[in-house]
This record gives sequence, structure tokens and C-alpha cells, in this order.
Amino acid sequence: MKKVLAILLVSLMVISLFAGCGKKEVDITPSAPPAETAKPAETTQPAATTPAAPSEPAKPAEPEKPKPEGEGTLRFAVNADISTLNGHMYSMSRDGDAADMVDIYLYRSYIGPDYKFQRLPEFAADFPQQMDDTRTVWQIPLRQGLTWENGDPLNADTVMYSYKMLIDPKLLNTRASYFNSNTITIKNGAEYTKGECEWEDVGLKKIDDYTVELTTVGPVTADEIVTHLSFNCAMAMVHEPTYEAAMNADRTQTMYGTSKDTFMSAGSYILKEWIPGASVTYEKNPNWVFADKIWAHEVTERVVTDNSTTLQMFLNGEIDYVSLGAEEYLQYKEDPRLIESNATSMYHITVNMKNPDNPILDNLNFRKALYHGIDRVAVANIGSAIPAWYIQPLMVIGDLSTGESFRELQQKKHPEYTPENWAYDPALAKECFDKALEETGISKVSVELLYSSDNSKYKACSEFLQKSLAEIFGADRFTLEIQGMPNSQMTATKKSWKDNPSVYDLGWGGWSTSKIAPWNGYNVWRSSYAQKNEPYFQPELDELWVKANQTEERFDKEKQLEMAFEMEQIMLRDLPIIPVMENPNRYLKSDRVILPTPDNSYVVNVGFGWKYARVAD
Amino acid sequence: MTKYILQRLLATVITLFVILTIGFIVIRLMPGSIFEGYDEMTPEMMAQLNAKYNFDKPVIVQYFIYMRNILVHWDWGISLKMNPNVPVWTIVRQKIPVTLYVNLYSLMISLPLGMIAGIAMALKKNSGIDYGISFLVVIFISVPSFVFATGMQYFLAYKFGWFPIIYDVNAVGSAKLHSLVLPILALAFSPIARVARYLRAELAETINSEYMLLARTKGLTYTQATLRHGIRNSLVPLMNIIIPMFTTIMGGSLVVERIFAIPGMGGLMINAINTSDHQVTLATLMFYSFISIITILLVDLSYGIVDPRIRIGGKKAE
Repeated sequence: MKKVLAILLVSLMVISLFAGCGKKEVDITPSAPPAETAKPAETTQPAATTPAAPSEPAKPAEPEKPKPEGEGTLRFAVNADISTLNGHMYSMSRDGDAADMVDIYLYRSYIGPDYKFQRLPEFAADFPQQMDDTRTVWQIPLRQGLTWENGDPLNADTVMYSYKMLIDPKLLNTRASYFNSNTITIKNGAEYTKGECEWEDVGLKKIDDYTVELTTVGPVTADEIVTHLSFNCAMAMVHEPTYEAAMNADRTQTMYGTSKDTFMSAGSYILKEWIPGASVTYEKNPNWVFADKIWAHEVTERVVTDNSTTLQMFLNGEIDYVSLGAEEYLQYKEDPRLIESNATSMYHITVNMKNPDNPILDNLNFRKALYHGIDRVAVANIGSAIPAWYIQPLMVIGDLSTGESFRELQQKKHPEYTPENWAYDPALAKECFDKALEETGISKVSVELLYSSDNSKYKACSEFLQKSLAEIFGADRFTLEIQGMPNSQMTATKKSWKDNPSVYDLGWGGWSTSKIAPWNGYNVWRSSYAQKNEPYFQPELDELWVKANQTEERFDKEKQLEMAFEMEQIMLRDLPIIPVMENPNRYLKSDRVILPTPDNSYVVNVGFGWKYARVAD
Repeated sequence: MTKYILQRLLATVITLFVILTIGFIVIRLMPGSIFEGYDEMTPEMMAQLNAKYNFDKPVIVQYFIYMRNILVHWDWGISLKMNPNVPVWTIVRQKIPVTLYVNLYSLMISLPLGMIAGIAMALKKNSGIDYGISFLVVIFISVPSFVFATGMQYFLAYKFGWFPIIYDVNAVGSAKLHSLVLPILALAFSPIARVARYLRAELAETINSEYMLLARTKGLTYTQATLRHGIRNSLVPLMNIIIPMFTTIMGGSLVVERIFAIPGMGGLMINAINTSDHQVTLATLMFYSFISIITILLVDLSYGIVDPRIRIGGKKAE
């Protein structure tokens, strides 16, 4: 018996040992070798509306030929795997980046002739056409001759199916709201998702094989429709046969986009291989409508979550660019390979104003004391960030026609809004603090600041605030406790104020908004917003937001921008959040990569344009 | 013996059941909804989704539904954040092989290397060899595995180029093993040191026992007596440390997998917790619990092999 047991134990160990010795961890088979690709055209001008020629039948594999300059393989590391390629229920920004490679949209953001932001019709043949005076009915012509990677055609049925599935009442896709009501509101979209009307009642109709018609709830502009339909990967097309094949029997969920086998590409690249948790490989799609803008014949992504490992891979020449965190930036800030851009999001401290256990948070003078008591330059130095006294990040565009940023326009039109010294004024802060104590009848204040333990810089910044604010207000009168927790837990904690009003006092938060519609982003502070982080209710802001986004007043662009300035001023007056800093984008770039802009500049909604780069082989 | 094994297996199942129950309740009682990250979602839509996935029901009802699905259909639910709509069991199944590969290899090399070092230290007690290995043992025990991982990655992979910086997921055979040498070593250092230190202490005591003296008077050399009789009697206490050793390796693997970009269970668990993907968190919790409990069971059963005097499941003499 003992011998048998011994043999059994040894066998178990050996079997376990070799369990991982298979060729691969997953059953994903690589696709056929890439077909020979034509050399991209020399021009970088926006493409004509005629699609690229249909692909030739697959040729047998040939010996690899030398690639023309610029058509090499782009290699980089990402810090998270794709969660899904089904845009209808994507859960991370990483999914949007991957979808941008392989999906086709009606409209796409691109780099304009002056290297500013531009939008091009991608699957659409032209911009939306207004059909009546109410500005609620619009037709979108579609390109003919476009195909999926397997040769299936794209037409009006593709658009109808993609959006029908997105808002399907049984599937209940988490991103359905992006179609129903975002920049524009589609007639009966939300009602269909709730099961209150039929698909035929929804404001999306097929006119012919290459034309669809949108009907909106209120008057809209062509620009708004384009923004709506190119907002994120939820608006991408899906391949009906693959989507249906991946659907379960009761049509309540689909596995579309969860592996290479359950996905179909039609974008700039074709998904060649996807090893979950490890790597993704794309190959250039020669049939993409703007194939002449793509140089790299292949793109490979490795999932590497450790920053120092990624940096070593870059320094070792294994990847072509690497994102720099705050600590790495300090090390490489003088490196000639460094490229950087303004920030796209603003980091602030959220105030739980209605916390019954800490009523001083509801006192405006106390919040002003915090606003003026934060030495933003010092905090930003700790976090290798940009100090921010404002709400709208530097990257946000204020005027689409000129590409001028919101901040430049504010400085030009309302220089009086810009405070001195990034709003840091310790004397004023102390004065406000004294007033707050007097008004509330409190002699000593103790508040807790939540920070994300996922990133060490927030701890360092919080510790600095803990010390510096106590110095300004007096250590005997003010105590700032700090508490770290994972970011997801912090977010859940902040959002739970409705059920537990005293759940937190202060908490770090990040806010990233539409880069082209500064008037829209204040939505998250409207009284009706469902998932508020803080109990802030301001009818003045609500009214202004509706005017700027939903009434006909928004058609006057000057006025719309002015309303955006006003909303920012209301926020800075009431201070439900205390703006602190912005995190810029910083990368080290290999010399073998030539970006599409001459000065390596960052283009709103496109980024640095890595996928459009020339890559030496 | 068979009855004892069956009893232990039953106890294992009950333990796993208790862990799953506690894990389920603790996770469900955490604040917030799994859909809270979707900022644009309307309250009506969130209510519809909560109803679709039974999150609107009382926790106890959710628990019974969850347990019924596992017991009747072996259905661990689907991921809602990490890989939306993908069955949790499919995700876990993809990740287990590489984690077991790394961890078991670490364990497999730890035992012989640790024993060799321990025996050498015991045989050469208070010599230069003993002091030298003891110094390394102290270093290996006190420095966490991720520090070794980072150091070896920097010097052996990045500086000298002897190994790949990260795990090569496309490699097969020896190339695959080559890309796993550094993580395996990083995880193995601490167990090697623990085995060596423990065995040295046990052997040092055993060597001075009377039966060892008898063995030598029968003509065996010092080394022969130690290898044939001393080690076997020192192994039973050693089996006790294999349990915490394996769990230590698994714990270190959480970070080491991240450093070497190994797509295993470590990254899965961290991501599941960070994204509040509760179904995946529970499944990974059960994986680690299962491994730990099975390790304990295997070690208990192995006592009888190492030392025939131990009768597993035997009753007390009347």
C-alpha cells in the first residue's frame, strides 16, 4: 500500500510539473502569414473617400523579403491585457486602444494637415447630411466596397446590426448609453433598451444599402453627430455572423471579442494573434480605407505590468517606446529620446460636503482654505506633474476650427480668472480657515484624506499636504489623516456616500473629459448625474449645462464656450473638488520610430500617432 | 489507511466549502456595485443589470444561486470586468498551468539543493563551508523573492543578456525553460535556505545519536552513516516546513509573475481584486486555498513513506 501511495505521490508531482510544458497556455492558433503589402503612398494628406482596392486572394507563403524603410514592426509594452474586443461592453481604456487598431467606425479622429485634430469619415462616405429644418433627421452615406478581414461586405445592415446589438434589451450591454444618449440623444434609444418600445421605433433607419438615417430627440449639428459616433469603441462596427455565432441560446450574452476566434477585424490592422495576459500581434490591413497612412507592417504588444521591467526592455531595444512614471521621468528628463505632451486629465481632491460627522466640510470658507492652502507647485514637483488651479485640463480644445486650447482661450478672453501663484496663498488660506472655525463654532478640525495606494506618488503628495496644511492652519487646530487603499476600493467608497453619508471626508480623484467639448464634461457634477462622487447639487450649474449642451443656444459657438467658462467658475466658486495637478504624457521613444508629426506632438483624440509611425526594420 | 484518506478528503471539501462561504459573504458585503465604474450608465440601466446578474437579491439568495451553479453545473459564473462574459473557469484554466509550472519547478529544485546544502553544513559543522553557506542562508531567508527577481533581472538579463528580461510566451521546450530560469530561481532561494537550515539543525542532533554511533561501529563511514540513516530520520520534521514553504513560494509568485510578465494566477488575482471582479476573485481564492490544503494532505500522507514507524490513520493501542 505504501509503495502504491509513494508511486501515486511521485506521479502526481511529475504530472503537475509537466502540466505547463505544453506549447502554449491557450488554444489560439496563429493566422496565416501576412500577405504582401503595397508600399504606402508618400502623401500624408487626408485620404480621398474612395476605398482601397479589394484584397487579392491569399498567396502561398513566400520567403521574407527586405521591407522598405519605415515598414518594420512596431513593438511596445502595455500594462494591461485587453479585457474584451467587444466595444459594447468594454471595461478598460486599454480596450479602446486595441479597438482603435482593429475596429472600423463611421468617423475617426486623425491628424489634420496642420498636425491638429481632424475627423475623417471612415466607414461613412461623408459627413452627416441634414434632412429637414428641425435638425433632428440626418442621413449618413456609407462607403461602398469595404470588407471585413474575411471578405464579407460592410454596408447599412452592418450599421443597423451593430447599434441594434449595442442597445439590445436582453444583452443589456454596459456601454449602451453611449449610443442612446451622449453628445446627442437618439430617439427611443433608451426606451428600446428598457424594453418599452420596438426596434422599429428607434431613431435609426436603413434608407438603402449604403445610407442610414438618424433621428435625434432634439436639434443637433453634424459635428455633434460625428463626435457621438466616434466617441469610443462602443460605436465601432461588429461582424454579424461572428457576433451571432458567439451568442448564447437565450440571447442574453455573447462571447464576441473575447478571443481571436470570436472576433473579426475591419480596421487599420488585423488581429493576428492574441495570447490572453501575454501578447497581441496585429498585421497591417491593406484593405483599410486609409491604408496609405499606415507604415508598420506589424505591431506587437507585450503585456508587462511592472514599470521597471518595461523600461529595461526599452533600454535593451526590445520595445520601441515606453511610458514614463513620475520616478522614471526624474531619471530621464534630460534624455533626448524623451517626448511629452500636456495632460489629458486633472487630479483633484473630492470633498464629501454633506458628511454629517464632519460638518466643516460643508463650510465654503473651509474649502476655500484648502484651495488656497495647497502649494500646487510643490505638490506637482513631488508627483512630476503640472500644477492646476483650474478644472479643464490643458489638452482640452476650446475652438475646433482653430485648434486653440480651452486654457489659451480662457487666458485670452478672461485673464482675470487666472489667479496668482497657482491660487496658492497661505495668508488667505489661514484667513478662510479662521472664518470657517468661527462660522461653525469648531475649535479643532480633523479630516481624513483617501489616496490610491496603486501609485506611490499619491502617498507622497498626501504626506506633503498633511504637513504643509498643518503648518498653515496650525498643528493644534488642524489634523489631516491620510488613508491609502486600492483605487477601485477608493472609487467605490466615494460613490457610496449616498448610502453612508459619512463614509469619507476627502479623497483624491482623477477627471478626464471630452477633449473637444469642454462644456460637456461638467455632466458628472450635475444634480441628476447618477454616479456622483460627492454630494454637490447646484441648480445654476445644472441650468447652464443644459443650455450649453441641449438647447439651441449651443449652436452659437462663442456663447457655448462662454458657458463653459462660466461652469468652470461656478465649480471654482463652490469648490466641491479642489483642483491640484495634471499628469502629462511622457514617453521614451526609440530612434527607429518616426512619428507622423514633425515635432512629435500629441494630437487630441489621436495621441502621438504610434500606429501611423514609420518604423525602421 | 483508505478510511483515513477518505476522512481527510471529506475534511478538505468541508474546509473549502467554509472558505468559499466566508469569501463570498465578505466580498458581497463590500461597499459599492460592480457596475459603478461605468460612469455614463443610467440608474435604470444599472438596476436592469443588477437584476440580470441577481445582484438585486439578498446576499443569502445570491449565495445559494452561486453554490447551486457550482455544485450542479460546475459553473463558477462569468467575469464582468476583467474579461466580460468569459466563464471564470475558462479564465482560471488558462492561467493555472504556467503558475504551477513555475511554482512546482521552484519547489522541485529547492528540496534537493536545500538538502545538499544542509547535509554539507551538518557534515562540515563549524567549518568554513558551514559558515559560508550559513551566511547565504541568512541572506536568502531575509531578502524577499521579488528583490532577487529584480536584481537577477537587472544583472543577468538586462546587463549580461544571459536570459530574456521577461517570460517568452511563444517559446517552447528548452527556450521556454530558459526564459523561466530567473523567476524559478528567485522563488527557490528562500525555500532552499529554509530546507538547508532546518536539515542542518536536525542532522546535527541526529549525528550524535546512539544509533548513528552503532552504524559507524558496524563499519560505515561518517558520510555513509549520515546519508543512509541520519537523513531519513531527519526528514519527518522537515516535511512540516514543506507546507509553509509551498505557500510561501505561491505568495512570492504573485509579485515575481508580475516582474517577469508571466501570465499566471498571480496577476489574475491582483487584477481581479483591483477591478472588483468578484467572481474571478472568489475563483482565485479557491485555487490558492485548494493548493494549500492539498499540499497539507499530501505531506501528511507522505509521513508514512518517510518513516515506516508512523502508521497513518492507526488507532491508539488498547
